[in-house]
Amino acid sequence: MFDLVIVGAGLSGIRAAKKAAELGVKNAVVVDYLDKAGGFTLPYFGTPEFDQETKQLENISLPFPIWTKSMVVGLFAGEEDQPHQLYIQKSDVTEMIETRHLLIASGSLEKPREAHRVPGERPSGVMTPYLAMRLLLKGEVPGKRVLSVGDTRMHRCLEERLIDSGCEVTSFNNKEIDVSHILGSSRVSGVQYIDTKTMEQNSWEGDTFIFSKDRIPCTFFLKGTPVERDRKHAVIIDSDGRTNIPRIYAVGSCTPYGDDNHSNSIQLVDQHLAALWKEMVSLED
Amino acid sequence: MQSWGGDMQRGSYDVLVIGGGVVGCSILRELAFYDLKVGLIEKQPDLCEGTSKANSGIVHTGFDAKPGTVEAECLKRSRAVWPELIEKLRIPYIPCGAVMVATNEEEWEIIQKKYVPNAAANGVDVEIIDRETCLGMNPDLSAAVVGGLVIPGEAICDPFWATRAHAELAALNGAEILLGNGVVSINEIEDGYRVFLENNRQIETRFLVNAAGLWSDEIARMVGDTSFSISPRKGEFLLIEEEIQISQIILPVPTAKSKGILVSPVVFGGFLLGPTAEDISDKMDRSTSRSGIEQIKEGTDKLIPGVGMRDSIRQFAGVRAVCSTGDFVIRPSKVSPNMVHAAGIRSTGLSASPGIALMVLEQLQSVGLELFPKENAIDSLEDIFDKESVEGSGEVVCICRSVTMSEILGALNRPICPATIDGVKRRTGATLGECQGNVCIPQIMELIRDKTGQTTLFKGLQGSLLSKPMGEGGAGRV
Repeated sequence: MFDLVIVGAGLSGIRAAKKAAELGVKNAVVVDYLDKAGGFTLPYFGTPEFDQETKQLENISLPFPIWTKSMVVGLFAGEEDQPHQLYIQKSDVTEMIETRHLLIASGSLEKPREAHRVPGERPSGVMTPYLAMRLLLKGEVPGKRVLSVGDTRMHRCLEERLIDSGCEVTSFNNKEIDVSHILGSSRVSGVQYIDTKTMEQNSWEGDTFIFSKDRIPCTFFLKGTPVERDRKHAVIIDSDGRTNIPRIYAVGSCTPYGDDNHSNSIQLVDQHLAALWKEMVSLED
Repeated sequence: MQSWGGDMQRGSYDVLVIGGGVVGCSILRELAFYDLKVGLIEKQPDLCEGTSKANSGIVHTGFDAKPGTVEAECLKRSRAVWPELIEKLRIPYIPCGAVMVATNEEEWEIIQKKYVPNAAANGVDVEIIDRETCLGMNPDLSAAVVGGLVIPGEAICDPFWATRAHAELAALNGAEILLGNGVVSINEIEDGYRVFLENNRQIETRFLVNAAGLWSDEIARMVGDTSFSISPRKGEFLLIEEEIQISQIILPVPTAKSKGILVSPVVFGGFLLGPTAEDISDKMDRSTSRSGIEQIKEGTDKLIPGVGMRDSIRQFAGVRAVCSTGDFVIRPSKVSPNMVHAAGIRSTGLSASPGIALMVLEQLQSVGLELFPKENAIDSLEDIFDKESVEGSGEVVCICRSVTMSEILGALNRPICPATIDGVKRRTGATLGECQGNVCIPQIMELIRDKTGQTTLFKGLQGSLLSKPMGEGGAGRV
C-alpha cells in the first residue's frame, strides 16, 4: 500500500511530488498516461512563453517512481480508515493499487468547438492549440492560412510557431469576436464571426481554424465515484486542498482554482494543499 | 483508394453493389452467402459515410410505418431477423423499448386512434400505459404527460458497427470491397454493364444494385431511369453527456414531415436529442445551425423540460434521402432491369437493412440471377478481431473514452479498415469524447500510418486531409 499516489505528472503533479519528497515521503508513486512527465503543456516546453515551466520540469529526481503510460481508469474510495483503491491501465496490465492518500492533479484540456455548440459544417482542419502544436512538433503543418481564436498563452505561442513555419495567421481572443458559423464540407474553408465591438458580421477564409475557449478538467475517471465535482467537472476542494472524501485531495487546473493558462498550477501546490502537507509531515513520525 | 478481397482490376462480377451504407453492406452480406462473384463500390474513403453515419441508431419496429408499404414489409421481415443478426454480427444493442408520449389530450387521441391500430396492422406489440407508469419508468418526463404508448420491441444499437459488420462478414465470405472510388457512368453491354469509376477504372458486372442513398437517383439516371428523385432532408442532433432519468426511447407524436424530435439513450453512453427535419438543396450539407439547436431545445422541452440546456459535447447533422414516390424503391429498373434499386430509404435504413437485403435478392432472382448457396459460408463474426494482442499495447490512447492502443490496433486489423481517423472512430469510439480527438488524434494517425503504410491521412471525407508534412511542397494547402 502506498502512502501517497499522485494522479498526473504535469506541472502540479511534479511540483507536489517534489514537495512530498522534500518532506521525506518515500512510499509514493506519480501516475501519468503520457510517455513522460510534463502534462498538457509539454508541447510548449522550450518556448520563451513557457520558460518557467520548462525549468520546473528539467532534471526531476524523486525518491519514488513516475509511472508513465499509466492511466487511472477506476477509483474506489476507502470508507473510514480503509485505503483508497485505484485501477491503473498500463501497457501490459491493469493494476490495482491501494493508497492512504490520493492527490488528484490530472490537469485539464482545452474545450473545443463542439463543446461550445459552434454551428456550421464539421470539416477537418478545426482543432485546439494542443493538437496543432503536436502536429507541428511531428513535422506537420496543420495548414497554410490559419485563423486562431482563443485567450491563452498556448494560442499565442502556437501562432508564433505557425508564422515561423510559413503560415499566414489571423488571431483573435474570445472577447473580440464571437464565432457564428464554420464553413467547409470536407476541409474547413472559412469562418463567419461577429465583431463584438461593432456587432458586424465578418468573414474569414482559410484552411485551418484553431479554436478553444475555457477548459475541461481531466476528471473522467471520477465519474460514478463519490468525489464531488462542479458543473464544469472540476474537482471541488476547500482552500487546503481537501475534496469531500477524506484523504483525497486535488490541486491545479482540474480544480476550480486553476486557470486556462495553466499559469498558477505550480503556486497552487504551495499555497492550497496545506491539508495534504500536514499529513505528509506526520507520516515521518 | 483501398480495396479488400481483390482489387477489382479486371474480371467480371455477377453483382456489384453501389453504395457502402448500411443498406448496401447488408445486401452485400446476403449476396456473399451465394456462389457469386460480388463486390461493393463506395465513393468515400470508408463505409458508413452517408446517411448511415449520422442518425439516431434506433432499431425501429415499424409500428408506425404505413401498412401496405414496401417500408412496412421490409421492417416486418427485419423484425424476424434482428435477434439472430445481433448475435451473429455481435452488434452492441440495448432493447430498452420506446414510449410515445402524449403531452396533451389531442395527442392522446391520436395515439389511441391512429397508432394503436397502426401497430396492430403491422403486427407489432404495443401497450397503452397511464401517466403514472410513464413517469415511473421515466422520471424526467414533463409533468404534462397524459399517457403513453409503449413499444417494447424498439431498441438502440451501434449503427456504425452494424454497417461495417454486414460488410466484414461479406468480406470474410469472399466479397470484394472498393473504397474511395465512385461511379462516374454506366454503359449497358451484352449481358450486363460496364461501370466506369473515377481514375478511369472500369468494371464489368451482370447485375447492379443501386444502394447509393442520397445519390441513388443519380445512379439510376446513368442507365436512363428517371422514375424517382431523391431530395435531401437534414436532421440535426445534439448529444447530451449528462445523465437523464429515462429508461426508454422517448418518442413524440409524429408530424407529417418526420418522426419528430425525440430523446434517446445511446449505446455508447449519453443521450441523443433530435432530429430536426429541414428540406435542403445541397445533399452534402451537414452543417448544424443555431436555429436547429433552438428547434431541438423547443421540441424536446415539451417531453423533458430543460433537457436541451444540459451539457452537450457534440452536435451533428445527418441527411435523409427522401424519395419522390414516398416509399422505398426496391425493384428492378423498368428501363434497365439488371439494375435493382434499393433506394428511397428515408428514415428506417438501419432497422430495415436485413429485410431490404432479402427483398433485393428476390428482386435479383426475378430478373435472372441464380442463387446457389455457398458451401461453408461463414455466418458470424468471431471475437478474434476485437483486440490485437500485441505486447505492451494496453496503454490508453483516447483518455476521454479510455480506448487503449490494443483496441485501436485491433480495429486496424479488422477485415475492412480504412486509413481514416473517422474509420478508427467508428470502430473504437476514440475521439467521441469531451475533447473530440484533440488529444488522441496524433497518436491515432501514427498507428494508422504504421499499419497501412499510408502517409497522407484523411479525416473522413475525400479531400479532408488532416495535415501535410512540412517538407512536401511547403506548408500544405488541401
